[in-house]
Amino acid sequence: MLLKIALRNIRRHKRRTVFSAITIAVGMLFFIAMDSIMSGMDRGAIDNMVALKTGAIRLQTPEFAAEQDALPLRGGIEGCDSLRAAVLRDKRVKGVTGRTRFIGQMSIYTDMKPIIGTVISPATDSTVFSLTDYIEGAYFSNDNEREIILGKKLAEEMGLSVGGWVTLYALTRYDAHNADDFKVVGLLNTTDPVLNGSGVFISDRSADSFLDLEGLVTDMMVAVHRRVNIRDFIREVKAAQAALRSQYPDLTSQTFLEQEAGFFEIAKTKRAFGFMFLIIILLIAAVGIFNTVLMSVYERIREIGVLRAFGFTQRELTRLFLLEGLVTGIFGAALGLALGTLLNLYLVAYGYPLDKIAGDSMGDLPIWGTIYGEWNLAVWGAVTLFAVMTATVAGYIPARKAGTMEIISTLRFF
Amino acid sequence: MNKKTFLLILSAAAAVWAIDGPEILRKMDVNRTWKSVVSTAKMEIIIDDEVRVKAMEISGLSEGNRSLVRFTNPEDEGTKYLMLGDDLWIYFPEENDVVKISGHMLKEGMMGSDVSYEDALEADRLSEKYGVAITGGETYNGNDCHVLTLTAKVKDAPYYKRVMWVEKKRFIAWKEESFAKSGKKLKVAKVLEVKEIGKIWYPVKVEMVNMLRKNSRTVFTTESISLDKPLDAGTFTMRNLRR
Repeated sequence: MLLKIALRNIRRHKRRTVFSAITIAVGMLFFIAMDSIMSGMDRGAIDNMVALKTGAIRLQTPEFAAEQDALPLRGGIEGCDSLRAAVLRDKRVKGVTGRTRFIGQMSIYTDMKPIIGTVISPATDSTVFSLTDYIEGAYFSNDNEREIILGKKLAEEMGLSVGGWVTLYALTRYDAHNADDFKVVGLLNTTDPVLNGSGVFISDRSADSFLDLEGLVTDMMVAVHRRVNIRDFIREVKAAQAALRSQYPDLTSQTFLEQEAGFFEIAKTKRAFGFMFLIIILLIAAVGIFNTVLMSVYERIREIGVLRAFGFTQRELTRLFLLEGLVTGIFGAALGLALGTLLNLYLVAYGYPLDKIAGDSMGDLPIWGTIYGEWNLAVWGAVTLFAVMTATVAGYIPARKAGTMEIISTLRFF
Repeated sequence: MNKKTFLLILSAAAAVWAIDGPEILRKMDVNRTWKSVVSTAKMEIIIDDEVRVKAMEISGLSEGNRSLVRFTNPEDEGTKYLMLGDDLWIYFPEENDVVKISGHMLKEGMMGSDVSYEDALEADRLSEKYGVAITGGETYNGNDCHVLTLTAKVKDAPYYKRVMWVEKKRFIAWKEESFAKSGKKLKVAKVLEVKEIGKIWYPVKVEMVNMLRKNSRTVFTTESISLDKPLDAGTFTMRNLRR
């Protein structure tokens, strides 16, 4: 009976209902968009980290892992080719490649800079990393010439451009001093400012003689297939790591989360601030919803007086307005979810071009190109519940107040 | 015996008695062999027109390749380097912290200079790591010198090739050029002053030039030195590093 009256009232006050529902929907839409963009920024950072620096999982020998901060050219992984083939049999794994980092210096004689170089295997590196997407110039050729790819900012600082020559100095695997000239074939202009400012890459063929590597590979980098949702991706990565651990107990493995634990600690703090920001948005939305519903109920105080004159008890009146608030809340939340889904579909598919909008104003902060949205269904559920409850409670307070007023007073209320 | 035969015999005898490369290296190694060293030294790092001076106290035992360096110049006062075998620890007094540096970092320039820890305290015998040939003779700074070319015979020799101007009389290497495997010249070291300590001619002032960095050189001057004096092994401990 009460539900019937409530629905009829909602139909009768179409404009008010639609206005309240739109307020709820807009509040939810704003929240969903912000949450999606903020999650997308985190995801963008992770995607870039995985695609440019860490891979999903890194395999090392325990001997190398114990000393890896000093980047010694020893303690390499034996039988890399067979290991690669075996790891690739896991369906979660997208690619495997070997990398070896080394400490050195780069000289143009008037200037000399300390560097951490990376030896990559051009044939397999692109199965894990996306350096080729960011190269200005060329990737490593099959020529016998010593070739080098540098971060664009580093090259600019040293006055180097594609086709120029630079002298690389490093210690070999046997700690002998070595130096040789390398031709700059490509410049990296990535979404990672660290890579742009200090990236130095040489091919395994050059490094074999330059660093006396004799095939030494210290890091086996593993890529796992991308999943739209970051939680699913992390779950897949951890599952792949567990499989690798049981298969290769002699090797240590680290996921990108473990490799960049410091970054994720900072990200956690950042997320806490982000969460506070979202709470503020939610509160602003709640005030809007409250205000709209409250006003619509106060406008109907005289109607409440009439209902009371017809014999409605205070309890029945309160339940009636609660029901109206609930239905309006559900309607608004449904609209908010629908609009949020549409907006998020766009954000997930086309993204938000932060770099184009922010330009160079972000300075050295990591700009991740286009930020893509994320599906965060748990948060969506929570915000829907919050919107519906807010709309319901907003109707309760004035209805309860009107219920305690004299009928005459309610009829004169305006 | 005619004159021709006499000259032939004389030149054959000279060939027998002539000193060869390995023998020169052995004699040079004598100048580099000591059981212990205690010294104070100064390092002037000259980059363009800027001169930075680092002062230090050095103690070293060749047995176990142990050494302790304490910096005494105001900017680095109290900073210490402890080397035990292939490991190096650096103590930073302001942070009261010790950082371990791996073996290959020993070959990097010390305190931004062109002198590596290895250059300053190289204790390996040259003859163990290099094959040698006499490739000429020259007068260098008024000293009659052999020109030796040393080529690495093991992969862990610090440089692939070294050319040395070694005085014939006292077997002092007055000048040395070090080359990478690629043939690129990496360093030039010149001895500017030597001092006789017991039976050893010790280079007390050396200039190092890193050929990969123009307008940069380092002059390492040993101001006082005593060799083969008994040293307490407790000097070369982590406890002493933090003290």
